Amino acid sequence: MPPQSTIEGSPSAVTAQERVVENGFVAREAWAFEAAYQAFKSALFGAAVGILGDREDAEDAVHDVLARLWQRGHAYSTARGTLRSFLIACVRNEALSRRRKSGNRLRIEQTMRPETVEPADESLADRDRIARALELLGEKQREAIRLSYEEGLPYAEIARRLNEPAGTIKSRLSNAVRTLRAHFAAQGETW
Amino acid sequence: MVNDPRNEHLEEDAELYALGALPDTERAAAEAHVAQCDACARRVGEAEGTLASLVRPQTPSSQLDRRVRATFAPRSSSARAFYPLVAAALIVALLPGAFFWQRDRDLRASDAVNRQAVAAMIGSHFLHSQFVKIAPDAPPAKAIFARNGAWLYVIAVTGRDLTLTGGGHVLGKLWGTGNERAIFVEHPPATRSLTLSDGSRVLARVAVAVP
Repeated sequence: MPPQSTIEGSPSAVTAQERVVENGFVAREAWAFEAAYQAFKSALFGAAVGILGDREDAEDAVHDVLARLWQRGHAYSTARGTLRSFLIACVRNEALSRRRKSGNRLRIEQTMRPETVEPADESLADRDRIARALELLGEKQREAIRLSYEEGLPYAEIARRLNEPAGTIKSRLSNAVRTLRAHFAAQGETW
Repeated sequence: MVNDPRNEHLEEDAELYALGALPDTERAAAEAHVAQCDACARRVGEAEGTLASLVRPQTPSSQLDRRVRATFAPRSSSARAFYPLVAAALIVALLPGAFFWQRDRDLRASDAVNRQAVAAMIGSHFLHSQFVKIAPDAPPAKAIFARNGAWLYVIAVTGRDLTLTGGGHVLGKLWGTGNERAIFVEHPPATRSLTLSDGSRVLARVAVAVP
């Protein structure tokens, strides 16, 4: 029986195209940066707006990350994994950094303008998929991941808030990510 | 003797690095190590992939599309602008039937696909065949395929996202922007016909001989 394939998971076509974009990205060719944006823009913007809560700030973050990686270089190699997950990580870091810098100002603005956060485009199935994965974590792991992934706190700050040793929090975060990875891999979801 | 942190594997710091949970000094050391250690780069990449699965996609405004396009648009004086024009010229020269390429030579959007196609065409013998319309709104489309079955390339004049199937497989989505879409497939399955569909609706079909 031939392997089942979907549009996104198409065995040869998408991989071949993505490989061309990845190679162009490694060589820092401008067309590859635009192609990568076109291919991953919803995920990149979703990652930024989920942290910043403001669409304009999130668009700035996505644009500035791409421009900076193009102009100043980047640490991406195909050995590291997919370009998609690398770019999402870069955008997340940029958004977290912007949020730390803006600090209280952003929190006050968000309180005054709650309508700036619009509902995500995700389907209900997508939301359930993420919720199911997070349910696999123990309560302590889930809280640590929430503080890190959603609040963007460094591990030492999480340790301080939870009144636990820093080493314990590091192991907890690491184990939580690996548990999620095993779950997504079992669902056939790898990037 | 002091250990150089660049020589130490990240271990659980790989996941913390991906999370952005390391303070700046530890992050810089981790970054330096990842740049020279494939094993740790892979572990970081796996963690980044896992966290990417938690992202909830949202559609940005068309303004961001325009900003990105303006930032990465080829400059006329730059060598970067040269390749798409060469690709366009080669395709037009090689395919007299592909009249639509002459209307709009801005191939930047589907450049990734076209680069592969041009390289493949130069290096092999190929055949080409026009798609036959099944639905009245089927776009003009053409299939070009290597005689030895090493690759196939499909181009269409459409702004819609179409899907190509053949040999019992979904081969992928046609890529591009504006009024151009294309797909390049390496090592396609053996097939005697290809189909272009818009969702579940079949638009056009072409007979091919992909061994």
